[in-house]
Amino acid sequence: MKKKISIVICLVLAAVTVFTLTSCLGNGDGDTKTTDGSSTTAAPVVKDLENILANKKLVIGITDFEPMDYQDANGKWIGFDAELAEKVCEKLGVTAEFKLIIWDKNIIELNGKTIDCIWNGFTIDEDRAANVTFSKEYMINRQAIVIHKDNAEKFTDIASLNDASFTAEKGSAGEKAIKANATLKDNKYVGVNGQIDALKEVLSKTSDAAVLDYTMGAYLVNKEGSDFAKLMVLDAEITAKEYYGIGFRKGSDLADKVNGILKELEADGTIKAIAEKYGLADSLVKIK
Amino acid sequence: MSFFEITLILFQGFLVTLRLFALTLLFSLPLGLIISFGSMSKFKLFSIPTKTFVWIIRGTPLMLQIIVVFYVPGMLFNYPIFKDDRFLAALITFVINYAAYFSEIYRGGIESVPKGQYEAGQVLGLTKTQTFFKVVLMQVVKHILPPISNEVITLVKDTSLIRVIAIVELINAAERFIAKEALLWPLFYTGVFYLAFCGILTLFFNFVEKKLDYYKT
Repeated sequence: MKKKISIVICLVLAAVTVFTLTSCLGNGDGDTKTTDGSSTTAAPVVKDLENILANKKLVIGITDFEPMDYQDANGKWIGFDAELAEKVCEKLGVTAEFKLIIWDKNIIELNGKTIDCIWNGFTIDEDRAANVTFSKEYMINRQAIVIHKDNAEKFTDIASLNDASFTAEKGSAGEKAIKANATLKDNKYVGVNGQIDALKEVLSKTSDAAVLDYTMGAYLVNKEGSDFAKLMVLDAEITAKEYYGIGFRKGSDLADKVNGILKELEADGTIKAIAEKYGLADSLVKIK
Repeated sequence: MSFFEITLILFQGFLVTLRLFALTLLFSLPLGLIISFGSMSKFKLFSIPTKTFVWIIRGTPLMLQIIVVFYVPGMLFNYPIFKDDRFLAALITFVINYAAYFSEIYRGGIESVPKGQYEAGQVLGLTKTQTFFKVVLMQVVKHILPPISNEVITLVKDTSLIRVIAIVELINAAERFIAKEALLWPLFYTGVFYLAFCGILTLFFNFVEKKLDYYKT
């Protein structure tokens, strides 16, 4: 009898744990989604600003992503996003602390408060806006289709990819681009853990084509001595333009503050100067 | 980047792997013994919670446990304890997880010693504690060495799971070369590190087993 009771208690405890966890992780379902990704009115204001000013540091979640965030020979983080973040932190009066994260855990890191923002060529989209408050858009991005050079003659445009198998990072803008494309949406598709894993798929010919950020795809394929040199970026547009923004916790008061600072940095030419340094001046957009 | 430079950077990642490995063993081996006493206890007050605990730890993936320990304090309690020390979150998870496994190995070892030996000890005027430490313990050590060595070798490779919370251990160090230098081979090269280390451990356990084989002539 005692045994039975203890088993029941265990099961109830397990159920409660699972329930609280899921209800906590799955928040944001009821929030209104905005198309431009800016802060929504439905979410309560999260007071991050106070904490960050008190701790005198902003923890920024990043990955190795040239030319946005990467390390120089001394291990210092440089790149367009890294330098812009340093400037913004200067204006906030805090230090920027760059934290290497695993990209597919970015929103969990944000909600777990182990980072304060995602600033790493983060594409603004509607689904992400359910869990993240975006800053204003500051840079243009597009999705690139990467194929194996052995298939260069077979695949020349979107129509020729009709029967090709596709891969992209789970939940990425690339995945959405495939699913939204009238020709490609029913193709064989596998979602992998990262944009690089998608390239590995194509390299090992387990998938015919990968869809990922143009910035990253072009960099990895064209870099000298690259193991991905057998791949190529297909000269075909799969999506309309999309934009990079900074991701904050849902409803964070930090977003408005940083938007203001970005405008100041745009007005005094700082943003343009950094963009020119990394050859990204053409990709800048006017901050609304 | 030269082969040597890459080996050096991978070795730095390997040091993190080794640190987790050593500290996990240091804390989980004794903790496992305490847990095993708990689950062998005659008092239900001790044995039922301990057994439930071991069931939960052994019944869920280690990767999930790492994620829970690292992220949940900040998510549920608004208190991100591990914000500045990811390694600590990984270490705590590993110590708890491995202690649970070790406790079952200890329990098996202790219960494998026939009850008759305790009775014999009693007849010879030894207390229960004396019997355990002077008669039973060394036999237990001998019995549990093979399963412990198995777990220890599994631990070497389980350390690679901590990359889910973005700690740069060996595998993650190699994966960063893909993003930074567009080099894939360092990822496969990490296998050499694991293989070499497990080889050393295997030799070590063979040696200890031989040393403990004192009844054979």
